[in-house]
Amino acid sequence: MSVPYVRRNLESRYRLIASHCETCNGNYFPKRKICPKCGNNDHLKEVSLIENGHLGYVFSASAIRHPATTHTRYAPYISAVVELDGYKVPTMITDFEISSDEVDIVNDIIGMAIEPVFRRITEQGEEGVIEYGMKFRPSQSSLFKEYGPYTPKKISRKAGLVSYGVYLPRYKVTVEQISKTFGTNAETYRRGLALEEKGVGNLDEDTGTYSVEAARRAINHAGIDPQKIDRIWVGSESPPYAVKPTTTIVAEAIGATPYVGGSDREFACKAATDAIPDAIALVNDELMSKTHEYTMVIGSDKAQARPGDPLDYSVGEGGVALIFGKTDVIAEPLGVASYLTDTPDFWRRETAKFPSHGGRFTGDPSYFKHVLGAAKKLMSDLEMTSKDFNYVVFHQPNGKFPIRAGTKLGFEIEQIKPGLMVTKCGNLYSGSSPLGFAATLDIAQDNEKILLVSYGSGAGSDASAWITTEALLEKRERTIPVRDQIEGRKEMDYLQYARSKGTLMF
Amino acid sequence: MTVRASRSYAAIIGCGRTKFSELWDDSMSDLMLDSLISALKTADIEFKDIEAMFVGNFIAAKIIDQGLVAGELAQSLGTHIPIFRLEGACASAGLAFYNACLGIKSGKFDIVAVTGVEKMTDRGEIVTDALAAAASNWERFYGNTFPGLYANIMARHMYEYGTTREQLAMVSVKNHQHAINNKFAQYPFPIKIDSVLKSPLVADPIRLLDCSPVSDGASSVILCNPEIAKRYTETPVYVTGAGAATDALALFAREDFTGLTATKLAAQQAFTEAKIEQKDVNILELHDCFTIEEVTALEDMKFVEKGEGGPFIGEAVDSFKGSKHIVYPCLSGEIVVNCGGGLKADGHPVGATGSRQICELWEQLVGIAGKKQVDLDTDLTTGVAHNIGGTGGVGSVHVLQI
Repeated sequence: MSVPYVRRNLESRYRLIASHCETCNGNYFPKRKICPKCGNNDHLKEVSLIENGHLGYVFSASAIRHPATTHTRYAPYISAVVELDGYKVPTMITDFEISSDEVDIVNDIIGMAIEPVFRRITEQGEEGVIEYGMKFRPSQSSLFKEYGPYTPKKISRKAGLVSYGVYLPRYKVTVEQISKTFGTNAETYRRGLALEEKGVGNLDEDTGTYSVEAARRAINHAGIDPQKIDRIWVGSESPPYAVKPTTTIVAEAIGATPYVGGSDREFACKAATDAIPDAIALVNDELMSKTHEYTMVIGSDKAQARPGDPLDYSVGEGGVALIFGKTDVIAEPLGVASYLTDTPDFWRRETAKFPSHGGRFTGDPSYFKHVLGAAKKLMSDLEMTSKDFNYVVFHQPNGKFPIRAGTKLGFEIEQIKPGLMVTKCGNLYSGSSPLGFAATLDIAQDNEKILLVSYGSGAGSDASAWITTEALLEKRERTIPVRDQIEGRKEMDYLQYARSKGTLMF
Repeated sequence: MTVRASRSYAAIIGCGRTKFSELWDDSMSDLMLDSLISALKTADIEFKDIEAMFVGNFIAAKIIDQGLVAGELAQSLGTHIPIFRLEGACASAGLAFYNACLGIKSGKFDIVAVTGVEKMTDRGEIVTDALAAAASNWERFYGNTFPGLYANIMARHMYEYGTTREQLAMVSVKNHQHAINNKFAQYPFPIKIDSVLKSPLVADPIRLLDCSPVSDGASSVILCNPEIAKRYTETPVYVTGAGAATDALALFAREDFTGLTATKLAAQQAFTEAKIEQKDVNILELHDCFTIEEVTALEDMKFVEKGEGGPFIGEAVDSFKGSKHIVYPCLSGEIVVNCGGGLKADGHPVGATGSRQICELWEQLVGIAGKKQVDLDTDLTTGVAHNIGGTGGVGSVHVLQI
C-alpha cells in the first residue's frame, strides 16, 4: 500500500479509533463519516478501542499459509476478526505458534480471550517504509489490575519519576540452545557470565513496537492523558530505520501528537538514561515547564549480534519507558552525575550488519572505569555511601559485571539482586539499567533510596539517585511487574530465534 | 406468445464456452472469440446480428495489464457496436448478464451477447494478490487472502452450527462427481473424501481441495427479445427473474457472516419476479468458490434451514449409490446442484463463471447436455444461477425457465 494510504489510516491502525453512533448505538470500526444503520452523521463519537482495558475475544479467524507477496516474510500467521466491546475489528493474532498441523480454529481460536499489541504488519520491501498496526495475542497475566485515568492526588514542587512501563517479549532462548548450535560449553556462559536465558521477541517485533508497548504501559501506570506528554526521547542502538525517527511512531501510537517534541537518541546502552536529566530539567525549568507538563524517556532495543559471538548469548530484547512530571511522583531525584571519555570498546560502522567489540577491553578500561567513575562522583556529591542506599542498579551486559561493580563500591548482594534481570532477560541495551530500575521499583517500599548507574559503550555512564514516595505504592496496581512478564515464556529453538532476529537468510 | 415469454426479461437462444483449464496457448482475446463463436453457432446467427455486448471480467488489468477490455474485444472482432465491461469480481459475468437482460427488456436492443472471460495463469505468482483486490484494504493489510476470508466464514459457520469438516468435504466430492461427464471441466474425475481432508492446508480450516482452481476460460450467451425468440429456436429459455444486491465489502463490517446478505436479497428479488418458490427449482448452479459457500448459498436461498446445510449435504452425498448426479432432496422437491461440477471441478476463471452457469442451465433445460444431462423424475423446467463477487460484496441470482 502506498505511503499516503498508510498515513491516512494511521489513527485507526495505531490506536483503533472507531465510531459510536449516539443516535442508534451502532458501533463501527474503523471510524465512519455516516452511521450505516441510521444514516446520521452528526452524532458519531470517536472512541479508541485500546483504551477500554484490553478486553476482547476472537470472532473468527484463519491461519494463512499462502499469503500475498506483501506478507510472505511473516507466514504462516493468523488473520482474524476480533470483537472488542461490541466492535468488530480486522486484525492478526500474534504470539501464537503455527506448526504444519491444522490449527483448530473452531475449538482453539474462536472465543479466545485476547489483548492488543502494537506490531509490525509488513514492510514495502527492503528499502520501503515499515507498516505498523494493532494485532492481538492470547491474553495472559499481562493485564493491568487497574487502568484508565488516575485522579491526581499530589502535585510536587519539583519534577520526578511519575511512572514507568516495561514490555518484555513472550519468547526466550536458553544459553544451552545457543551453545548446542555453535558447539560451545553452556556452563562457560552460565557460570562465567551468569547468563541462563534471554527474552526474544516475535518476528513482528522491533524497537519501535517495544517502545510503543512500554510507553503505553507507562501511560497506564501514570493514568494521564497522553496529550499532556510534551517531549519524548527514544534511546536505542537498533532503531527500525537508519534514517527516520522511532519517536514519531511512539508519539502517534500513544496519541501524543501533534503538540509534542522529541527525537531519537543514540549512545549504545546509555541512549535512554542520557535523556533523564533533560527530561527532569524541562519540567523543572520555570520558562519551559509552561509547555512541559510531562516528558518521557524510552530505552528500547532488539539488538543485533553476530551469530555465535559472545554477544549472541547475551543480547536481550524489550523496552522500558519512564515518564517525568510533578504529579503523583513515585520517585524523587536526589542527584545526577555523568562520566564520559572517548573509549571505543563497542561500535558498528554504517554498512556493517553486526557490531564489533573489544573483547576483554570492554571490561576494566571501559565498563568498570566509567560506571565506577559516575557512581563515585555522584555518591561524593551527595555525601552518601553504599549504606545510605537500599538498592543499586547497574547496566547489565552480563550477570557478573554489576555484582563486581557493586562490590567495589561497598554494596551487598541483597542491594543488587532485586534489579539484576540480565540472567533471565539478557542485556536490553538501552533498556538494560532502566529494566533493573523498574524491577527494583516493583518491589521497593516508600522512602527507600535507589542508585541507578547506566553504561554506554564509546563510552559513558550516568548515575542518578532516587528516593521513593507513597505514590509508588498507591499506583502499583497500575503496572505489570517485570518478574510477572518472564513467567511462562515459550522457548524458541535457534532457527526460530535466527528467523526473528533476521539472521536466517531466505 | 406464451405468458412466460411475455413476463421475461429476455430469451436465451444460444450459449458457448471454452474448456476451463490452464490454457497456455490461448490469449484473453482467443478465449473470448472461441466462446462467442460457439455461442453464435448454437444460436445459428452471425456476429453482425449482435447489437451490443456485455463483457464480464475482473482482473485483466492486474494479470495481463489489459484495461479497456471492450476495446480489445472490438479490435479482435472488427466491430464498433457498444460493448460494456462489467466488474463485480467473481460475479462480473453475473452482472454483465443482468445488464444484458435490462438492455433487451428496455427495448434498446433485440439481440445482444454476454461474454465472461478470465486469463489467470499468465501470472501465477501474483494471482493471490490480484484476487485479494476483491477484499477490503483493511482485510488485505492484515494479511488476509481470498481463501483466508472464506476460511473465516467457514470457521464461524462450524462454530455456530456445528458444521463438520467431513460435511464440507462432501461438497467437493459431489462436484467432482458431477464433472465426470463434462468435457469442458478442468477436473473431470472423482475424488474421495479422504483426499479432501488430507489435502494441503491453504488457510486453516480451508484445504486445497476445498478451493475452486485458478483457471483460464470464457463463456458466452446470446440473448434476444423474447417476442422474436421463436424465429431463432424452437426451445428458447426465458430469463423470468433477475436479482442483484450488494453488501459491505469487508466481512468485519457486517453483523453476521455465516451467510451472505447479497445472496438472500438477490434470490428474493429473482424468485419473486419469476413467481417461483424453492420447490419449483429443478437445477441450481451456485457459486461454490469454496466448499463452505455451497452450504451458505443453499441456506441463504432457503433451500435448507439456516445452519442445516452441512448435515443436509453430508447425508445426500453419503447415501449416493448412483453413477451420475447426486440429487439433493430439498423440501418438497429434488434438485441437482452444480450439474457440470460447479466452480470446484468445472473450473473458475473468475470473470467467466457467471456466464458459464447460464450456459450450463441452458444446455440442461434445452436437453442437450449430452452425457451430463440431468435425469430427474420430473421435467426440467426451472433453473437458477447464483453468482457471488468477493465475499458477498456483490451477488446476482437469475431464474431461467423453459
